[in-house]
Amino acid sequence: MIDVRLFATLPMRSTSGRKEFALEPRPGLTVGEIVDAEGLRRTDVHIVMINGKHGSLDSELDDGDRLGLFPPVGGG
Amino acid sequence: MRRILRVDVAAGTTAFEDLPAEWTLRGGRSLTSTIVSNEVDAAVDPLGPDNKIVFAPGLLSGTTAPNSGRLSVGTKSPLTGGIKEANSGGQAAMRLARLGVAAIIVEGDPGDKKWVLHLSKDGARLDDGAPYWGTGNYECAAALRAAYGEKVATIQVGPAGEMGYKNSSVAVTDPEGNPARHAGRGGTGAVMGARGLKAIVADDAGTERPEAVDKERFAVARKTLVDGLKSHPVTSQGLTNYGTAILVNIINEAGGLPTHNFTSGRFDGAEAISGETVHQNCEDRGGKREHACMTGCVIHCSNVYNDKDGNYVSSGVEYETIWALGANCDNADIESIAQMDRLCDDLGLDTIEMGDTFGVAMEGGVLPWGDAARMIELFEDIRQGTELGRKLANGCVHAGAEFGVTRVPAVKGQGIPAYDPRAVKGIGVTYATSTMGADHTSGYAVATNILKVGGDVDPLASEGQCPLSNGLQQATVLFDSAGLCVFLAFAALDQPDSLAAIPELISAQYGVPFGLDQIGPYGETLLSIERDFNRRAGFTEKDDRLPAFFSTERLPPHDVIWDIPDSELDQVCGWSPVLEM
Repeated sequence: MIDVRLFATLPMRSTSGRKEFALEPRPGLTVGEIVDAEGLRRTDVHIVMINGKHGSLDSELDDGDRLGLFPPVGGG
Repeated sequence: MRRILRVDVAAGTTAFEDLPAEWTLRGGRSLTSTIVSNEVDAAVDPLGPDNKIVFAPGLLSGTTAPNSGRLSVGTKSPLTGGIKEANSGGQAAMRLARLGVAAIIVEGDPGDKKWVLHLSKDGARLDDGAPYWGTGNYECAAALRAAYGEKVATIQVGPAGEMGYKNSSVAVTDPEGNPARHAGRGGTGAVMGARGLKAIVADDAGTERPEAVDKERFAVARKTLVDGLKSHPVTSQGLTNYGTAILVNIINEAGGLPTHNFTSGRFDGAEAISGETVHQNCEDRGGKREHACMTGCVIHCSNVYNDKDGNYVSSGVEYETIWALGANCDNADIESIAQMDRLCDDLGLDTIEMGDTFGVAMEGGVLPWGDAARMIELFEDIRQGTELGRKLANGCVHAGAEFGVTRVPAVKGQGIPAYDPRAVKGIGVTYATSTMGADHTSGYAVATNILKVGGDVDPLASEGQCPLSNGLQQATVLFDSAGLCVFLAFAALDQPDSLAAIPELISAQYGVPFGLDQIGPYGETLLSIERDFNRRAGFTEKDDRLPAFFSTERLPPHDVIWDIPDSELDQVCGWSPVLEM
């Protein structure tokens, strides 16, 4: 399974409103397709983390991956 | 006309001096560091009679430039033994600027005397501070308002500073009068305490804003910068909606959230202490999820955190504090973190140093991991000055020595903040090479490493981190000298017009040429002054290093070590020929 987590404003903007869910893997599944399926605009997503490393909307996901999606955030 | 106020706490006198003409473009950090470097022998005992403490509003403080009310506090640090500039939000800097004060230099041996320095349009005087001595920052702020007027801004030292603790801050009151903003790092509070100075009261009634020499150019540049801040998604949405605590989840995802005294980069309890949780609690309990720490702020990253009964606890439960007293100590209880934030603000303790210290104490078996109730009890030991309290109130290096712990996260004696340098290597370079000791704000490479603001440099790679940190450290000097909140950089790093507006504002305010191409040299000049002071204080290239454990202990989940070569760090610090940018 793929572990998907949406942070900050993204769950509120998605159609399902889910913060965290598991997704069945399939060959060639990209981050962008998950963003689309959640009803988010691709421009809403500023940072993609896959297993703690930066990815992109074009990154493909494998079974066991942990995906984190973030809008623009800052702090310090 | 900007003037310097010299305060002699031995004689109990104050005197204004003209600001030397060559210091027209010195303000905030560039003024405090220049004065400390010129007037304080680098060899002095930081808590002895010969050290001085300097307060300076920024070059743009008091003007209508957005977020321009940072106050710089400079001295020789009792924590690092080197030069120190710690800055704070709050209302005081803009009040001092309206009073025409470029800097306040406090010097002399007060003996047993305790003082309150009062400034108004009628001048400056020292009043008896004895009635306030011993009070916590909240009680002191309320008493000063009662005595001097509801509208005054105050700069204060808490019990930690009075008792000479090396972990002690200088507090500044916010727009509501709460002493919740702090020049936190490096033990400045102890130097203020050693001068016998409990508080500075700034009353700007009857004063005018400092006028720009070129009002039209100033207005244009101001509009450019405000528009930039209101359009950039980080400064108009991310920070505004969630505050700095939004970082808990992303730094945790990135595997860089220091956990269990820097032994892991992920914390299982992150969600419970996240910005999302803080945001919800602020909203549900009648607090504020948006709060400005100073008048004129357009970002509003602070919050007002209430307890479950709706009573005010603290203003600005922020990322660094949440990490320090939370993840670093295996504590996932956000209520206890808010309560400890309040205690730190009241006692005048730096939350980062306190969290590093608790992590070391937990590793040394002084208290169990994650025991928030015991942590809270120990603040009373610190307040009372018990033997254990003193062991905990002098920073993490002191605690490491007391408790026999060798995994001590510090550079130049100052505790490392909320990003593990093995997983966020650009900020590691800043920790190692900053003149201030481990200080994330002095070159915030996290923006580029993790947040994808101002470019994109892989946080796990060793390449590119030194030039990144070096450039940010130079630019940060200008922000710190202008009195600008460093969060403006989130917009300025992505928007060329916003960046250009900052030197333009300074140029228009003072009627002198100052452009984009001078940001780097301005920063480098000041960094050279600070490095020179540190060398005279005895620092060598060996002080520009991270603790050895970062190079030998692998950090989960990325299984990474610190591997930036010393030779590259030495280029940043000027120990070897200057880095090609």
